[in-house]
Amino acid sequence: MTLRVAAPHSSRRFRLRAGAATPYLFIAPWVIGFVAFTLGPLLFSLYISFFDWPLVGEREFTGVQNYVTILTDDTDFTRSLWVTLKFAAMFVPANLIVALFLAMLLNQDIFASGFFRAAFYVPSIISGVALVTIWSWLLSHEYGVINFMFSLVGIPGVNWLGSPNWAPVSIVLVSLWSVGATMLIFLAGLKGISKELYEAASLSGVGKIRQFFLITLPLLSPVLLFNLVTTVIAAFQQLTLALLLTKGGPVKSTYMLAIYIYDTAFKYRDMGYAAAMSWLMLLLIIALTLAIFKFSSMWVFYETEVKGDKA
Amino acid sequence: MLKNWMPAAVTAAMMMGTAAFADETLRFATWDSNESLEIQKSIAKMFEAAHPGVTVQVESYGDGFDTKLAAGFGAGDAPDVMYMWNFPAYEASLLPLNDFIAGANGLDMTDFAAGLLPYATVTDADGSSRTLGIPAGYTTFVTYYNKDLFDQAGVAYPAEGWTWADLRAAAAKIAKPGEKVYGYGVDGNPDPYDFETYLWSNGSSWISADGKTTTGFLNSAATTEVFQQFVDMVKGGEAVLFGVGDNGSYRELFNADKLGMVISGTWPMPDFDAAGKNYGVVGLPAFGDKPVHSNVGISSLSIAKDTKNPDLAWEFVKFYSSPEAVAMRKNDLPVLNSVATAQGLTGNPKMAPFIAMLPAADANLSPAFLRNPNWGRAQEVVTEAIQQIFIDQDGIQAILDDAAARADKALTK
Repeated sequence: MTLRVAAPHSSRRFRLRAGAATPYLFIAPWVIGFVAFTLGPLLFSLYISFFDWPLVGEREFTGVQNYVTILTDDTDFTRSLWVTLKFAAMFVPANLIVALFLAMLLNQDIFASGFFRAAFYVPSIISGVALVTIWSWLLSHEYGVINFMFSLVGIPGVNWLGSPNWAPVSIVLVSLWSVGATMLIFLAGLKGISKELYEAASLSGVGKIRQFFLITLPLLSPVLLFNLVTTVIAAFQQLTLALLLTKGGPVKSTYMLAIYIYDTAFKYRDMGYAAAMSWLMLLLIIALTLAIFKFSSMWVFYETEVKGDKA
Repeated sequence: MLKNWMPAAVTAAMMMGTAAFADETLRFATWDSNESLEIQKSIAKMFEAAHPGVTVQVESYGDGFDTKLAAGFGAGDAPDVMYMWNFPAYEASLLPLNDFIAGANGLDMTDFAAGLLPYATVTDADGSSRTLGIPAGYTTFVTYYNKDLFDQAGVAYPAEGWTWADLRAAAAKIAKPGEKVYGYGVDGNPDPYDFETYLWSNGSSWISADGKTTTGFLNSAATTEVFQQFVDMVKGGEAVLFGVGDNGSYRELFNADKLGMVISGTWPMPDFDAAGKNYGVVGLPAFGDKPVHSNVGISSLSIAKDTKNPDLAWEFVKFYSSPEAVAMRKNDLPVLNSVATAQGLTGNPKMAPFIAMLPAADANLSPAFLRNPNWGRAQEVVTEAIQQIFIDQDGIQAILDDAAARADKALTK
């Protein structure tokens, strides 16, 4: 008797334990990958940010010296941060407006809307390098298609990539090519807004433009908040386009913080200093995100809140 | 010629008794790609044939050379032998070659073209010097000119000993701005390393001889004069500015018969030949009666300090500068005088100017990066200043003064 009980008991316990481990086994590849290739390097970069850590040669613990130097005595840092802020000030609104505009066009019941949805998204899956190559041809001062088309209607061409004033604008223009993901999220949000609201508004004689500001924008505001946060983060991390399209030039007009960090790490091989700048950039992004969330209560409107108030 | 060298090389190497290197793999990193890479691979194959059992793994890092090499050293996984030019940046990781050169399996340095070795040597605080690389190929800077455009404009071809005044006069006659034909091409975004050629030829340099300051050099009157001349040429329509916001390169302009003259190294030559251009080569023009100097772009071979097999690595480096290996390099100039003579380069009108431009070893003329290990950061400031000058085309002195102050600060970082 004891034997009969004990045997299944122990085997059940074994089975249970094996069963409990199964989910962890399933997520193990991701967790191991995360720890080995994301969390590990992340913590390691924090560690080396307190060192003078050249790729080649002696490493030396310097405490917070890197951070102090960056914040008090590095004009390249302040300049590249300023370039990044100016870029973000153009990039974020331009991306949000264009993405929302395209999403609203796609949200209409038109012929082949599925085709257009795919067509507008396709540019987002083109790799950044291919995108840059194509646009560097289009934007070429003397031989570019864009300036050629301008010349047909008598507008003098702009030195898109060669003028310090136009180069940042060009990068924003090119970045709009990859607006697809933001657009799709807006589209999903638009689909969630009940048509009845618009019908009711139309019956009450509210025009299309007022409908946009009174219905669409408020009901879309949570989605807008999400897109705003992700776009701001994307603006600060912008590297590929500027690095490949203008190499940070001309005259460092597109020399963004991410390029400066990249150069410090891989050109000047000063890993500790680059890591310290990366952490400052992270803190800055966190601070900005928190600020956006803090002020979001002023303009973000959740439907659930309304329902709660009514009940 | 190659066919003549090959068997002799193989036999000679076999006779040296290299059985000691059996079953070894040697890693060799290069920045070359395309045809140049194929040449490296052939030389490596020849080495393998002469050293049975040895495998040479040729690693092509291309444009990412510096990043990959630095990462390799940082991770303790550097190749045994590598191409090298930036000796001050890597000196701590490279094996000094002085003892190998002077040793039993040594190398006769007297056949090397004069002026190349200082580029591969660093001087230490105690005054002693370390040779960290052996040159494998090089190029100087020369003027390429399109003979067809000269003929059309009725201008005599440039001759050795000419000056910038001669060049500008020819450029003005060749230029037809309405047809977008230009006499000369000014690089608006040059590598400061290459650009120093003009400063030297006008009696200036980027940085002081002791490497401590750029003030009085980067912003000297002689430096300003060089920039002013190029800006005047662009403004006056003699020259076209390239490299500023355009992907159209001087090579395309030259091949399309839109550019009369351009200054470069050996690099565009295969392009011009492939396009069947009717072109000539002449030395650099002088600034008045001042002596002309050209910078030298050198590919040297270095050995990693941590290599497990320094003797085999040295054998490889030595082989690379042997007459038979040097003769195989087609995309730059032979580092050995004997090979240059054997190839008849001094009698070849397209090649002789390159060799004539090779400066005598002169301690007063060493590129900025050899004078200060932090030059890399200062060079960023210089690059920016040059861009600013060619975009503004005005206020040159003020731009250079500001750059000198910032470059000096960068030197102390």
